[in-house]
Amino acid sequence: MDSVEDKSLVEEFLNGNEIAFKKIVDKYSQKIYWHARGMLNNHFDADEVTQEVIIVLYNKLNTFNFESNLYTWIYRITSTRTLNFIRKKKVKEFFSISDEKFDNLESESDIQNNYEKKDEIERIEKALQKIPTKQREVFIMRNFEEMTYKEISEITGKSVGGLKANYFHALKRITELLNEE
Amino acid sequence: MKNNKSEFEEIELLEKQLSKKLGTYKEFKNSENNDRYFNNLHYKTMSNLEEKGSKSIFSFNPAISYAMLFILSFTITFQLIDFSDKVTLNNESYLFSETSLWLEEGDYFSTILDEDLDLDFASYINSELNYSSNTSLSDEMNQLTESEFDEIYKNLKNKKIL
Repeated sequence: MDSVEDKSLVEEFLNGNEIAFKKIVDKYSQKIYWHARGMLNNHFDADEVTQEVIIVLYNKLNTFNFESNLYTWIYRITSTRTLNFIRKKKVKEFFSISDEKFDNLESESDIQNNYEKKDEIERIEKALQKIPTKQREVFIMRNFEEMTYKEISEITGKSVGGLKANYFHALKRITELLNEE
Repeated sequence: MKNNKSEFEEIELLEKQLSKKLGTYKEFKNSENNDRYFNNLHYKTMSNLEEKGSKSIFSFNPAISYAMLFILSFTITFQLIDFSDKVTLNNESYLFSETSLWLEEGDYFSTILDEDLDLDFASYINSELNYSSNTSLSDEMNQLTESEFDEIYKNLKNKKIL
Protein backbone atom coordinates (compact mmCIF):
# COMPACT_ATOMS: atom_id res chain seq x y z
CA MET A 1 0.00 0.00 0.00
CA ASP A 2 2.74 2.35 1.07
CA SER A 3 4.94 1.74 -1.93
CA VAL A 4 1.95 2.10 -4.31
CA GLU A 5 1.12 5.44 -2.70
CA ASP A 6 4.76 6.53 -2.84
CA LYS A 7 5.01 5.59 -6.49
CA SER A 8 1.97 7.64 -7.39
CA LEU A 9 3.25 10.62 -5.33
CA VAL A 10 6.62 10.49 -7.08
CA GLU A 11 4.97 10.26 -10.50
CA GLU A 12 2.66 13.16 -9.72
CA PHE A 13 5.62 15.25 -8.58
CA LEU A 14 7.61 14.41 -11.70
CA ASN A 15 4.61 15.54 -13.74
CA GLY A 16 4.86 18.93 -12.11
CA ASN A 17 2.61 18.61 -9.07
CA GLU A 18 4.47 20.38 -6.24
CA ILE A 19 1.80 19.41 -3.71
CA ALA A 20 2.77 15.78 -4.23
CA PHE A 21 6.31 16.68 -3.19
CA LYS A 22 5.01 18.39 -0.07
CA LYS A 23 3.15 15.18 0.77
CA ILE A 24 6.36 13.18 0.40
CA VAL A 25 8.17 15.64 2.67
CA ASP A 26 5.39 15.57 5.25
CA LYS A 27 5.45 11.79 5.22
CA TYR A 28 9.21 11.31 5.61
CA SER A 29 10.63 14.48 7.19
CA GLN A 30 10.21 13.21 10.75
CA LYS A 31 12.08 10.00 9.96
CA ILE A 32 14.88 11.99 8.31
CA TYR A 33 15.09 14.48 11.17
CA TRP A 34 15.08 11.92 13.99
CA HIS A 35 17.75 9.82 12.36
CA ALA A 36 19.95 12.89 11.94
CA ARG A 37 19.11 14.11 15.42
CA GLY A 38 20.12 10.83 17.04
CA MET A 39 23.36 10.78 15.12
CA LEU A 40 24.27 14.44 15.61
CA ASN A 41 22.91 15.23 19.05
CA ASN A 42 21.69 18.71 18.28
CA HIS A 43 18.72 20.33 16.65
CA PHE A 44 20.54 22.77 14.38
CA ASP A 45 22.78 20.17 12.76
CA ALA A 46 19.83 17.79 12.39
CA ASP A 47 17.76 20.58 10.85
CA GLU A 48 20.55 21.34 8.38
CA VAL A 49 20.90 17.70 7.33
CA THR A 50 17.11 17.30 7.05
CA GLN A 51 16.85 20.32 4.76
CA GLU A 52 19.80 19.06 2.73
CA VAL A 53 18.11 15.68 2.26
CA ILE A 54 14.82 17.32 1.23
CA ILE A 55 16.70 19.38 -1.37
CA VAL A 56 18.44 16.24 -2.66
CA LEU A 57 15.04 14.56 -2.96
CA TYR A 58 13.66 17.54 -4.84
CA ASN A 59 16.54 17.49 -7.30
CA LYS A 60 17.06 13.73 -7.63
CA LEU A 61 13.62 12.16 -7.43
CA ASN A 62 13.68 11.89 -11.21
CA THR A 63 16.53 9.38 -10.89
CA PHE A 64 14.62 7.12 -8.47
CA ASN A 65 13.78 3.93 -10.35
CA PHE A 66 11.58 2.09 -7.81
CA GLU A 67 14.02 -0.81 -7.56
CA SER A 68 13.80 -0.37 -3.80
CA ASN A 69 11.19 1.25 -1.56
CA LEU A 70 11.15 5.04 -1.54
CA TYR A 71 11.59 4.77 2.22
CA THR A 72 14.82 2.77 1.84
CA TRP A 73 16.12 5.17 -0.80
CA ILE A 74 15.40 8.23 1.36
CA TYR A 75 16.97 6.55 4.35
CA ARG A 76 20.09 5.71 2.37
CA ILE A 77 20.45 9.38 1.40
CA THR A 78 19.85 10.46 5.00
CA SER A 79 22.39 8.01 6.35
CA THR A 80 25.07 9.08 3.83
CA ARG A 81 24.44 12.79 4.34
CA THR A 82 24.54 12.43 8.11
CA LEU A 83 27.82 10.50 8.05
CA ASN A 84 29.30 13.06 5.65
CA PHE A 85 28.15 15.86 7.94
CA ILE A 86 29.92 14.21 10.90
CA ARG A 87 33.12 13.85 8.87
CA LYS A 88 32.95 17.43 7.64
CA LYS A 89 32.47 18.61 11.19
CA LYS A 90 35.53 16.67 12.32
CA VAL A 91 37.64 18.19 9.54
CA LYS A 92 36.33 21.68 10.33
CA GLU A 93 37.14 21.19 14.00
CA PHE A 94 40.62 20.06 13.01
CA PHE A 95 41.17 23.29 11.04
CA SER A 96 39.52 25.27 13.88
CA ILE A 97 36.81 26.56 11.61
CA SER A 98 33.81 27.61 13.59
CA ASP A 99 30.29 27.47 12.24
CA GLU A 100 29.42 31.11 12.82
CA LYS A 101 25.91 30.64 11.55
CA PHE A 102 25.10 28.91 14.83
CA ASP A 103 26.57 31.60 17.06
CA ASN A 104 23.39 33.63 17.23
CA LEU A 105 20.94 30.81 17.39
CA GLU A 106 20.88 30.27 21.12
CA SER A 107 17.60 32.10 21.43
CA GLU A 108 16.03 30.18 18.58
CA SER A 109 14.16 27.32 20.10
CA ASP A 110 15.34 23.79 19.78
CA ILE A 111 12.29 21.57 19.77
CA GLN A 112 13.75 19.98 22.88
CA ASN A 113 13.19 23.17 24.87
CA ASN A 114 9.49 22.53 24.76
CA TYR A 115 9.82 19.15 26.35
CA GLU A 116 9.41 18.64 30.07
CA LYS A 117 11.81 15.68 30.42
CA LYS A 118 14.63 17.64 28.84
CA ASP A 119 17.33 16.32 31.20
CA GLU A 120 16.53 12.68 30.54
CA ILE A 121 16.59 13.30 26.80
CA GLU A 122 19.95 15.03 27.11
CA ARG A 123 21.39 12.05 29.00
CA ILE A 124 20.29 9.67 26.28
CA GLU A 125 21.66 11.92 23.54
CA LYS A 126 24.97 12.32 25.35
CA ALA A 127 25.26 8.56 25.81
CA LEU A 128 24.63 8.09 22.09
CA GLN A 129 27.47 10.46 21.28
CA LYS A 130 29.86 8.37 23.32
CA ILE A 131 29.60 5.29 21.14
CA PRO A 132 31.25 4.90 17.71
CA THR A 133 29.31 6.18 14.69
CA LYS A 134 28.66 2.74 13.18
CA GLN A 135 27.29 1.39 16.44
CA ARG A 136 25.22 4.54 16.99
CA GLU A 137 23.66 4.24 13.56
CA VAL A 138 22.55 0.65 13.99
CA PHE A 139 21.36 1.35 17.53
CA ILE A 140 19.15 4.22 16.34
CA MET A 141 17.76 2.23 13.43
CA ARG A 142 16.98 -0.79 15.63
CA ASN A 143 15.63 1.00 18.67
CA PHE A 144 14.05 4.21 17.51
CA GLU A 145 13.05 3.32 13.98
CA GLU A 146 12.38 -0.33 14.78
CA MET A 147 13.97 -1.62 11.58
CA THR A 148 14.91 -5.22 10.93
CA TYR A 149 18.55 -6.12 10.34
CA LYS A 150 17.65 -6.86 6.73
CA GLU A 151 16.29 -3.34 6.23
CA ILE A 152 19.33 -1.81 7.91
CA SER A 153 21.58 -3.94 5.75
CA GLU A 154 19.82 -2.69 2.59
CA ILE A 155 20.34 0.90 3.68
CA THR A 156 23.88 0.73 4.98
CA GLY A 157 25.20 -1.98 2.68
CA LYS A 158 26.69 -3.82 5.69
CA SER A 159 26.30 -7.54 6.41
CA VAL A 160 23.61 -8.66 8.85
CA GLY A 161 26.26 -10.39 10.99
CA GLY A 162 28.32 -7.22 11.27
CA LEU A 163 25.24 -5.19 12.12
CA LYS A 164 24.25 -7.62 14.88
CA ALA A 165 27.71 -7.41 16.41
CA ASN A 166 27.64 -3.61 16.26
CA TYR A 167 24.19 -3.52 17.81
CA PHE A 168 25.23 -5.81 20.64
CA HIS A 169 28.22 -3.63 21.52
CA ALA A 170 26.12 -0.48 21.28
CA LEU A 171 23.41 -1.88 23.49
CA LYS A 172 25.90 -2.94 26.17
CA ARG A 173 27.67 0.41 26.16
CA ILE A 174 24.48 2.49 26.21
CA THR A 175 23.12 0.44 29.12
CA GLU A 176 26.36 1.00 31.05
CA LEU A 177 26.32 4.72 30.33
CA LEU A 178 22.69 5.20 31.29
CA ASN A 179 23.12 3.17 34.48
CA GLU A 180 26.02 5.35 35.59
CA GLU A 181 25.25 8.05 38.23
CA MET B 1 25.22 -22.16 18.67
CA LYS B 2 25.15 -21.94 22.44
CA ASN B 3 27.11 -18.72 22.17
CA ASN B 4 24.52 -17.24 19.79
CA LYS B 5 21.74 -18.20 22.15
CA SER B 6 23.32 -16.55 25.16
CA GLU B 7 24.09 -13.43 23.13
CA PHE B 8 20.49 -13.29 21.97
CA GLU B 9 19.28 -13.67 25.57
CA GLU B 10 21.63 -10.94 26.71
CA ILE B 11 20.34 -8.62 24.00
CA GLU B 12 16.77 -9.26 25.10
CA LEU B 13 17.67 -8.58 28.70
CA LEU B 14 19.50 -5.35 27.87
CA GLU B 15 16.65 -4.19 25.66
CA LYS B 16 14.24 -4.80 28.52
CA GLN B 17 16.44 -2.82 30.91
CA LEU B 18 16.66 0.06 28.48
CA SER B 19 13.07 0.07 27.29
CA LYS B 20 11.80 2.42 30.01
CA LYS B 21 14.62 4.92 29.56
CA LEU B 22 14.40 4.85 25.78
CA GLY B 23 10.63 5.15 26.12
CA THR B 24 11.19 8.75 27.26
CA TYR B 25 13.06 9.48 24.06
CA LYS B 26 10.32 7.89 21.97
CA GLU B 27 7.70 10.02 23.77
CA PHE B 28 9.81 13.07 23.02
CA LYS B 29 9.98 12.08 19.35
CA ASN B 30 6.23 11.73 19.14
CA SER B 31 5.40 14.82 21.19
CA GLU B 32 2.84 17.18 19.66
CA ASN B 33 5.13 20.07 20.57
CA ASN B 34 7.25 19.14 17.57
CA ASP B 35 4.41 19.49 15.08
CA ARG B 36 5.02 23.18 14.53
CA TYR B 37 8.60 22.55 13.44
CA PHE B 38 7.68 19.70 11.09
CA ASN B 39 4.68 21.55 9.63
CA ASN B 40 6.94 24.44 8.63
CA LEU B 41 9.81 22.33 7.38
CA HIS B 42 8.66 21.98 3.78
CA TYR B 43 7.99 25.70 3.43
CA LYS B 44 11.29 26.63 5.14
CA THR B 45 13.36 24.31 2.93
CA MET B 46 11.70 25.44 -0.27
CA SER B 47 12.23 29.11 0.63
CA ASN B 48 15.90 28.41 1.35
CA LEU B 49 16.19 26.58 -1.94
CA GLU B 50 14.68 29.51 -3.86
CA GLU B 51 16.89 31.96 -2.01
CA LYS B 52 19.97 29.89 -2.88
CA GLY B 53 18.93 29.82 -6.52
CA SER B 54 18.51 33.58 -6.71
CA LYS B 55 21.80 34.20 -4.92
CA SER B 56 23.88 31.94 -7.14
CA ILE B 57 24.93 34.83 -9.43
CA PHE B 58 26.49 36.56 -6.45
CA SER B 59 28.03 33.43 -5.03
CA PHE B 60 31.10 33.72 -2.81
CA ASN B 61 34.37 34.15 -4.62
CA PRO B 62 37.53 34.14 -2.42
CA ALA B 63 39.61 35.97 -5.06
CA ILE B 64 37.16 38.89 -5.16
CA SER B 65 37.01 38.98 -1.35
CA TYR B 66 40.81 39.21 -1.07
CA ALA B 67 40.93 41.88 -3.77
CA MET B 68 38.28 43.91 -1.91
CA LEU B 69 40.19 43.49 1.34
CA PHE B 70 43.41 44.63 -0.31
CA ILE B 71 41.76 47.75 -1.78
CA LEU B 72 40.10 48.52 1.55
CA SER B 73 43.35 48.13 3.52
CA PHE B 74 45.27 50.22 0.96
CA THR B 75 42.70 53.01 1.14
CA ILE B 76 42.66 53.08 4.93
CA THR B 77 46.47 53.01 5.13
CA PHE B 78 46.73 55.84 2.66
CA GLN B 79 44.35 57.93 4.76
CA LEU B 80 46.18 57.22 8.02
CA ILE B 81 49.60 58.32 6.80
CA ASP B 82 50.13 62.06 6.87
CA PHE B 83 52.63 62.85 4.12
CA SER B 84 52.95 66.57 4.87
CA ASP B 85 55.75 68.22 6.93
CA LYS B 86 57.21 65.09 8.50
CA VAL B 87 60.76 65.60 7.26
CA THR B 88 62.48 68.62 8.76
CA LEU B 89 66.14 68.48 7.87
CA ASN B 90 67.00 71.96 9.22
CA ASN B 91 66.05 71.17 12.80
CA GLU B 92 68.88 69.82 15.02
CA SER B 93 66.71 68.02 17.58
CA TYR B 94 65.22 65.25 15.69
CA LEU B 95 64.36 61.84 16.88
CA PHE B 96 64.31 58.71 14.91
CA SER B 97 61.02 56.94 15.28
CA GLU B 98 60.23 53.31 14.67
CA THR B 99 58.27 54.33 11.63
CA SER B 100 61.55 55.39 9.94
CA LEU B 101 60.49 59.02 9.66
CA TRP B 102 62.64 61.94 10.88
CA LEU B 103 60.53 63.87 13.32
CA GLU B 104 60.76 67.06 15.25
CA GLU B 105 60.75 66.61 19.02
CA GLY B 106 57.45 68.46 19.33
CA ASP B 107 55.77 66.10 16.95
CA TYR B 108 57.05 62.99 18.68
CA PHE B 109 54.16 62.45 21.08
CA SER B 110 51.53 63.03 18.47
CA THR B 111 53.34 60.42 16.37
CA ILE B 112 53.01 57.91 19.18
CA LEU B 113 49.30 58.35 18.84
CA ASP B 114 49.64 57.69 15.13
CA GLU B 115 51.65 54.57 15.89
CA ASP B 116 48.96 53.43 18.28
CA LEU B 117 46.51 53.90 15.48
CA ASP B 118 48.80 51.89 13.21
CA LEU B 119 48.95 49.10 15.76
CA ASP B 120 45.18 49.03 16.11
CA PHE B 121 44.92 49.04 12.38
CA ALA B 122 47.35 46.13 12.14
CA SER B 123 45.32 44.06 14.56
CA TYR B 124 42.16 45.08 12.75
CA ILE B 125 43.57 43.87 9.43
CA ASN B 126 44.87 40.75 11.11
CA SER B 127 41.47 39.89 12.55
CA GLU B 128 39.82 40.70 9.21
CA LEU B 129 42.24 38.31 7.50
CA ASN B 130 41.59 35.62 10.08
CA TYR B 131 37.85 36.06 9.67
CA SER B 132 38.16 36.09 5.92
CA SER B 133 40.33 32.96 5.73
CA ASN B 134 38.08 31.22 8.24
CA THR B 135 34.90 31.89 6.28
CA SER B 136 36.67 31.34 2.99
CA LEU B 137 37.96 27.93 4.13
CA SER B 138 34.57 27.05 5.52
CA ASP B 139 32.81 28.06 2.30
CA GLU B 140 35.36 26.31 0.14
CA MET B 141 34.96 23.18 2.23
CA ASN B 142 31.21 23.31 1.71
CA GLN B 143 31.75 23.55 -2.04
CA LEU B 144 33.95 20.45 -2.23
CA THR B 145 32.50 17.46 -4.02
CA GLU B 146 31.97 14.29 -2.01
CA SER B 147 34.98 12.59 -3.62
CA GLU B 148 37.27 15.57 -2.98
CA PHE B 149 36.12 15.68 0.60
CA ASP B 150 36.60 11.92 0.95
CA GLU B 151 40.20 12.34 -0.18
CA ILE B 152 40.92 15.02 2.45
CA TYR B 153 39.21 12.97 5.13
CA LYS B 154 41.12 9.80 4.23
CA ASN B 155 44.42 11.71 4.18
CA LEU B 156 43.82 13.09 7.65
CA LYS B 157 42.64 9.74 8.91
CA ASN B 158 45.58 7.82 7.36
CA LYS B 159 47.96 10.17 9.09
CA LYS B 160 46.07 9.48 12.31
CA ILE B 161 45.31 13.17 12.70
CA LEU B 162 41.57 12.64 13.08
